[in-house]
Amino acid sequence: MPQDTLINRHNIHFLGPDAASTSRPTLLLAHGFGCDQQIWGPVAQILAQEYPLVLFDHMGCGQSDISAYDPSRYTHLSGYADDLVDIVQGLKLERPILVGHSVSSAIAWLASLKANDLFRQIIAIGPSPRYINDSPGYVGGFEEHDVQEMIDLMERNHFEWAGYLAPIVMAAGNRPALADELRQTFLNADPVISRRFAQTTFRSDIRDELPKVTVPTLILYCEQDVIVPLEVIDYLNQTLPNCTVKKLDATGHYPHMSNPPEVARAVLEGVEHAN
Amino acid sequence: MQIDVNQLPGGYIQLDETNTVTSVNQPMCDWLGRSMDSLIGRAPESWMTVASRMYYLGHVLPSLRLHRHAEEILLTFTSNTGEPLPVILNAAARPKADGGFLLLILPMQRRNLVEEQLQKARKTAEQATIEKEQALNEIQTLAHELELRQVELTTLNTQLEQMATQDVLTGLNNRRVYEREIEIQLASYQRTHRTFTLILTDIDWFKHINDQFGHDAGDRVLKDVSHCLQQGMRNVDILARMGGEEFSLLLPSTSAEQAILVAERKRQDIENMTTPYGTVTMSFGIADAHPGDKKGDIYGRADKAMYAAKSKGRNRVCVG
Repeated sequence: MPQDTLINRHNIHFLGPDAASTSRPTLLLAHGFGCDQQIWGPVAQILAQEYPLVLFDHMGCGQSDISAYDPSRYTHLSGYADDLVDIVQGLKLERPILVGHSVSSAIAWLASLKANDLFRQIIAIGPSPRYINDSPGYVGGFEEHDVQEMIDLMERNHFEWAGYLAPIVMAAGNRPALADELRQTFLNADPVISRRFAQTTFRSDIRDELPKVTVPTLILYCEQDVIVPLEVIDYLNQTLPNCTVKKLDATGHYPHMSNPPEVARAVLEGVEHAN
Repeated sequence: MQIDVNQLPGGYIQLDETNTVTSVNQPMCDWLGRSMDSLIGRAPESWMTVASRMYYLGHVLPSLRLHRHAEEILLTFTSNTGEPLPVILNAAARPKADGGFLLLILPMQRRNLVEEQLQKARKTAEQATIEKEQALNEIQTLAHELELRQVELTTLNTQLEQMATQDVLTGLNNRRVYEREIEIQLASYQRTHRTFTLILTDIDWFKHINDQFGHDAGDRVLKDVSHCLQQGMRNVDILARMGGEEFSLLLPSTSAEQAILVAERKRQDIENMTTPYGTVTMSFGIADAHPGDKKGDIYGRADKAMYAAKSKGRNRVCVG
């Protein structure tokens, strides 16, 4: 894929020093489910003072080019992992360090298995290989029905039937401008895609892949993360062959929003320079 | 005039930047059945159903932080007794100087019920559509399969027909075909009185060939003879191997006189045939159709004529 297409497709942005001007590795920041690259804003500001940064939107999120969205490709995290490989290789990034939030960590692990030596290191913030509890003894934090309820909630909150609604409002005739505006809001949200991403994310299970992952991984986690319970962090620590774990001085699932300086500090501290 | 938030006909929650409750009004406390003190200092998703908690953290909070506002969000809180409290929520960031967010919350039990039913109905309809499509696909697959099976069946039938009507060794029609055709000829003869002739012919001294040269030699002779008999036949003529070394020739629209010429020609052809086992000859018996013939009658006359040919010294044609 030509670089322009790739950059446009994933709304890729470069921050910080030019990669060619520094010996420091490039940091590739991958956002999690439900948001886009803007979520990195405050953390990226700090990191960019020292490291070349690449930010992007996963397909179907933010300002990505959804005309390239292929439903069959993205029913499994593997499709998102293929995108990561495309981005690293397409931009000719020299063994970058991937900083992934939440599901992006799982996507990065999968990507590392698709191409040799893709990443120098993966820094995973609040990662999980499987969100749904599984017998015997796996605590993912959720039950199947919790996930289904959330999908239902998304459906209702994102007005998936807006496609039907907006023209009906239009047909009423008195306030076409309002209908247009409504429809625009609906279109921007792209509810079907984000619901599919939710489904793909919360129904994913990459536990079998973990023992094969050799890239060094630093896991950053928080207490009171209601998406990822501590049991999951323990599980990852025991299952990933090359893994260190560090607790952040922050709470919740979004430490990069609730305490950006702490996340930036932990990333800078954990970044590996050696080849 | 300052409005007392505790008198608002709706819930009100104030959050700091880290999503921690800094203030909450009395109606919200009442709905949740919890004291104000127990709510302050906690995260608001602590009193939500698991699904709402996932959605709040996965969607509402990020969107609030990115876009500074979120509208018309459906969520379900839970009271201290575990009762679900469906609400609609609007949220906005406070001015930068103050920091944090304001949440306005209205319970919507009745609307929620209606919407739930709408959603369920929609799902049922979607499911029905999917099932219909699946059923259609299945029918198409089955129809296609049926078509394939029919083609297969036709092929098998053709093969079966061939197996049922063909003599394996010589490739000629077998006795079944003779039986069928003689009936057809007789029926046609009864109706139109157009005569037809049956020639029966048998290889002379065949047993000797078998005994002297073996069964493979016998088979070879049967094949050569069949080939020779087939030469110069009309399309309407029916040549069949009756079994052993006996063959039959049905000649439609042919008189006994004409049949003698045919048989005589065949007799000579056979006699002139070169084989590794010396000269082969055949004896021929001819019978034409008589009024009132059953198939046994005409066969009997032809057979008798053939045996007459045998007893007169073989390698000749006799008429019954």
